[in-house]
Amino acid sequence: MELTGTEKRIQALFSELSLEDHSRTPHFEHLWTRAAATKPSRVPLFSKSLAVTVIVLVVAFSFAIWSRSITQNALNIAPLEIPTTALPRFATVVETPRSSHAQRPKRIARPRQIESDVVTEASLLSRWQSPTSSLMESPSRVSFNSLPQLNQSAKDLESFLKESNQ
Amino acid sequence: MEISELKAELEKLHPASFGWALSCCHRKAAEAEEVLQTVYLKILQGKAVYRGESKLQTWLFAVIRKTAISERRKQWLRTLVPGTTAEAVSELEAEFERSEMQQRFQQALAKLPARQRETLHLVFYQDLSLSEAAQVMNISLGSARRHYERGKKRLRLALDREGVDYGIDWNRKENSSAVL
Repeated sequence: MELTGTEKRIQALFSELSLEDHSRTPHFEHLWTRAAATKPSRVPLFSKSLAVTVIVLVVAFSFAIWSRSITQNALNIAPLEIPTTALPRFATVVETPRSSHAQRPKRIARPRQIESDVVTEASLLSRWQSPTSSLMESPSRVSFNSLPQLNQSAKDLESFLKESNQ
Repeated sequence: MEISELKAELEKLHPASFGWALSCCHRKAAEAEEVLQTVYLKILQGKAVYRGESKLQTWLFAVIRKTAISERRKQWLRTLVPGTTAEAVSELEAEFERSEMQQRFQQALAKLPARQRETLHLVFYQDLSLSEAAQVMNISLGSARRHYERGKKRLRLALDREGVDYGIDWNRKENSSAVL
């Protein structure tokens, strides 16, 4: 590389700089030994896979515990209480009509009357129909709910052939 | 290349490597030493592998540059903690011992953009060609040439401003196409 005036001067300054740097340069062996001393031993491959396995197991175990606790919480929820006000006849204590003068003590209903009430309720419940059930009706409902006869077409064909032969 | 063989080659290049590390670390000797040690560690660990695709010096200088950049990032985090370090004191001492002329030159050099400073260092200090410098800096030859020309011009202007004459005829006609 041929250098010109400016470049030669710049190179002279850089040469001076390099001389200064050479005096400050640390020994190669010193740095190399220090680097070799700090070199960490390589982690064997099996230990890496072992670590991955342990992590996966821990995650799976914690997930199992978490899902179990969620299920238990769901089971611990108190069942919904059915409001008894809607079915006053099921009540074992029947209130008599109040008189205008004074309140009478409550009278316990007789067993036979309760039994007949229950039967009436049951029959009413069995006959109950949803007000929206008519919306679920469709003309093809019959064909969906009935099973086709497997040999129907064969029978039809047989009768047709007989008729045609005659 | 065997590690013993590589070690011998690295030893030969060690002074030049340190000079380059100094340039990459803004002339901070302790930082440059740390960078060079990290580079040797990378080589020992097999993180930096020489595959013979380029000159060993070019490859090594590229590794030093990359390491210096990452070390500088770490250094930036350390500087968030206030206080003058022993390193700063030793740098001041070194500056005091330097000749005035050299001091001004280094100040002018430090004011140059990093790419221009690096290109000038690789060409003038390390005696690399522009294409080799481009390889070290991982840029195109055209970019390296541009950095070289601009760096030279800015350095000359900065030294003129500083009044550094040294009997240099800066305006002498030159043949820039000869540099490659």
